[in-house]
Amino acid sequence: MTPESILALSLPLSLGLAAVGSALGLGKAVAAAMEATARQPEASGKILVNMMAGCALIEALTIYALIVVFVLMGKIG
Amino acid sequence: MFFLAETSHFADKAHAAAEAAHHAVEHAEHAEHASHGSPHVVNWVTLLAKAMGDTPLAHALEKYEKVIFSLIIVSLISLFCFAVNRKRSLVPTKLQLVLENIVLMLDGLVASVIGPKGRAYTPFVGSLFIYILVSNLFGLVPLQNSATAYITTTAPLAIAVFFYVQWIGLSKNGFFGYIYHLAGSPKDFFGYVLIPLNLPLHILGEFSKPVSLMFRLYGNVMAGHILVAVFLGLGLQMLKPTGLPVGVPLHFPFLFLEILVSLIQAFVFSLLTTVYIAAMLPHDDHEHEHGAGHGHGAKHGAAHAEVHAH
Repeated sequence: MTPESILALSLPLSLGLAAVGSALGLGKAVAAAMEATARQPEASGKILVNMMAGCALIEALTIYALIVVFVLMGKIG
Repeated sequence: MFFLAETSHFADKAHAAAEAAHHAVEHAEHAEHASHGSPHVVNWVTLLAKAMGDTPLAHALEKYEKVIFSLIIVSLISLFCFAVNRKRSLVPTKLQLVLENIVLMLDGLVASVIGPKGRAYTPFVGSLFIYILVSNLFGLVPLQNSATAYITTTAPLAIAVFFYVQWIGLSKNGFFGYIYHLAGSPKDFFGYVLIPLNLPLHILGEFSKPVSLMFRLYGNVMAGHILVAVFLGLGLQMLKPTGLPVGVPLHFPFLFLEILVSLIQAFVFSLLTTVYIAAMLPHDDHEHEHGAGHGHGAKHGAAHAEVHAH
């Protein structure tokens, strides 16, 4: 196994793993926001704004993994 | 090494195919030019640089591509605002109404996070929002590119946010208030004991904010462009046997996703900036009391009015 092939195998895997964690977090956040909106529809605007901020923070972790993948993709050649 | 060969082969193919989509001419030698390993759609600056060949001007064009697009976006926004604002009137024209509504929306967003006093920060946050949104959407126009798809554009934005937030913290809290805030605002003995732990953590947190801001915006916009380029390339590959410079528009559904992502990322960047500013401002707990006092006063006023009516 050359270093390049190890990279080629592990890069998509790492991104997938990051996406799994991010998806679990996003699912929880959005489910809670939906529940809150259903309970109190008049507060939907505020809930949406807060949910967006939280979702952005969760999603950022996957984006970091994506950037790492793109940086290391150049080494596969 | 089938997988290896496939990825590099695919990257080159996608790049070449995306080029052909706009160019209608395929240069085999340029396919190897994709040294970054990721496919991208061509724009007029890179096309111009390619047409000029190996001249210093072409290299300068390639080097300052992001700056050129950034300047285009800034001048577009400025020209639009200038043209609309030149004939300002109390009864707004259609375009003036559009601008006024955008400003009102941004003002409402900032005021909803920080409170009524936060309106002072609307110009900064609103400028960020408008610039990022226009820049993100500009990349979806054929032959154009987003300035925010490069880390050299998003990093200065995030650094500007960092310095602005620190300046607000210093000027609103005073120097010792700022240090007190960074130490985690200790209130009792336990809080003071934890200062050696809290201070480095808070300082590290302040520095990680701009890093996360710039990587989030850059990653989202760049990933969107690569997604579109890959599907453009796939669509072109499908019709390659016909020999025509056309393809199946497989990337079309993703353009709508890109519009959504552009909006959300611009919104998130400005929202997080607002949240950082709000976290830096001194917390005064008197606001609720004031509100309650006013309510009380209004009630008194109503009672007085009633008395007068009697």
